[in-house]
Amino acid sequence: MSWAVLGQGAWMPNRVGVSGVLAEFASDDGERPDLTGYPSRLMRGTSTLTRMCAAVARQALHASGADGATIPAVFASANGELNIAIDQLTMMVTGDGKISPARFKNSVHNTSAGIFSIAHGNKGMTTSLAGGPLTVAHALLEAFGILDDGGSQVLVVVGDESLPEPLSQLKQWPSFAAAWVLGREAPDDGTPRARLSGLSATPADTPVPASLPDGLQHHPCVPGYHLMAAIDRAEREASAGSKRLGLGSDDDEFWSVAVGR
Amino acid sequence: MALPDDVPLPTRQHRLGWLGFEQIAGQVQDAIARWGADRVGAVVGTSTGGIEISERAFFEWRETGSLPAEYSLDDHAFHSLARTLRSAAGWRGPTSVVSTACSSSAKAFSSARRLMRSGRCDAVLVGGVDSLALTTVRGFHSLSAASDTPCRPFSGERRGMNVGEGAAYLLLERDADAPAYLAGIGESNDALHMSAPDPEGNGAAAAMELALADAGLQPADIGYVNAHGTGTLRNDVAESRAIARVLGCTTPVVSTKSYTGHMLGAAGATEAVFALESLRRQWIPANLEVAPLDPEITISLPEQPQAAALEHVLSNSFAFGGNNISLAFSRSAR
Repeated sequence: MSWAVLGQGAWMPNRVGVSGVLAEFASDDGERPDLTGYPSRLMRGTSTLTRMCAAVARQALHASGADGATIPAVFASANGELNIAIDQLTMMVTGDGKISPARFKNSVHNTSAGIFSIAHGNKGMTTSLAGGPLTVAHALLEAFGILDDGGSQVLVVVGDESLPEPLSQLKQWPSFAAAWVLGREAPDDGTPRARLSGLSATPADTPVPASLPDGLQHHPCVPGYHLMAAIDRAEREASAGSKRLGLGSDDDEFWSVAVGR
Repeated sequence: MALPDDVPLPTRQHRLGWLGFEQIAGQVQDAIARWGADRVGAVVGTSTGGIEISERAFFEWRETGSLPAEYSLDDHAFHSLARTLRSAAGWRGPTSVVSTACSSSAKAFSSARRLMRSGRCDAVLVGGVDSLALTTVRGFHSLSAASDTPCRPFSGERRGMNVGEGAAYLLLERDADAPAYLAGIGESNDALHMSAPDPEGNGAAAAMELALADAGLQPADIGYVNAHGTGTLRNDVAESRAIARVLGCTTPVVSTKSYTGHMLGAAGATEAVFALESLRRQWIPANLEVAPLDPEITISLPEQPQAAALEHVLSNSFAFGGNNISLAFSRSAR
């Protein structure tokens, strides 16, 4: 069974959209995610993670023509709202020691999913996962499961923001999020951008490119960057065959997926 | 119960998670023996992961300027406990983590069922774990949602929730001769507010209706509802309206949070265990300290435990982000 890639989106600081994130150099634009279509009141007090997830979800929906009000959605992040967690701990040791309720309501791992459902009026199904280095693989596993179970389309959003002080003393990466709309069928107006198939513990046959935006090689969702690049290549090189891409590993659990036209 | 010396359990969440897992470890080993390690997987729900060690590390850093030498963000990470269990128990199938706040381990059932329906697993361990942390205790106080006295869900004198902690696990298996069956799942979003429920309970009602439809059941088939029932003013009124609309006002409804407190990411699995125990024992527990009843709440709230002929039950879980799920369990396979 193969699933059609109907649209994708991506964001990094100063790298907007799939082409911006895949470009050799960052631009001066897009220091903050574009939140067009998201009410400013709703986004108040949200993290960079939630904002970039909102932005890439909208890009992928726009590129695919999918309906944000009805599509099931899988959100995944290895570390979630750690910046808000550290903000809350700082509040405990400064001022009156109280946590802001506005920050607390946006501190849960499914904040991005909740904001998405509210902004798009989506009363269907959303979920939020965390899988460490398997975050992207498990997001696709869940999405494939939704399609296997009869769903016609699914939105997948993955991302992690850069770590706050003092956690950044231990490791660091740039903020990055990506999104895909997958579907059972090709779009009405022609062929899909690519097809994904065979999500399994099969060894990859595609070496990942050595060149990445600075620091992204340490990012827990870096397989999402490689997936986005592979989909982009498949879309541009229609004659290229299907290639199997590694999606990460943790102890002896590993996943790969075939990307082709 | 003793903790093992040879399994790394660096946080309270790991330790609670291990103590809960020990109780089902034998059945998991049996499933591995029958299906093969590659055909057994796990989905664990947690709201906060091991945040308490990051809290302590942060406070030490504020005092000394250095993080503790033994601190690792990987130990705090949501997926850490599930990887520990996988490594120790020896299953080799997919092992993922759901974190949708207070519905996390109920949503784990949905992910687990997808793993089985996709043909990737024949048995899936479903679990939920959360441990007490300053962040959650103080956070719920900031929302004026926490009670300083034992919580009294659905009572006219309820003052809010109590944050609890613990772990619960269940083993789902394909084609098993089991004491109970996962009959249906309904998932919905309120699409209204990040921390407050839809006052009319529309999202909650949708989740229950979808669970009934998925199970092929009628409202009259449900003999008991294990409610989300947090004990907050708004949740309990919204949920009772939803239950009244979907099931009517005579189906017994109990919030077992009056016994456990709100175990956050562990609540869904814990309350599924309560629901399954009700099916097994043909028995409905009492709502503790529910009198005097709230006149706005018109559903049936047993004040005494009672025997009951139960074939089908529902277990509700709702969460921040307006995330709702209702699980239908049956005594016999459907």
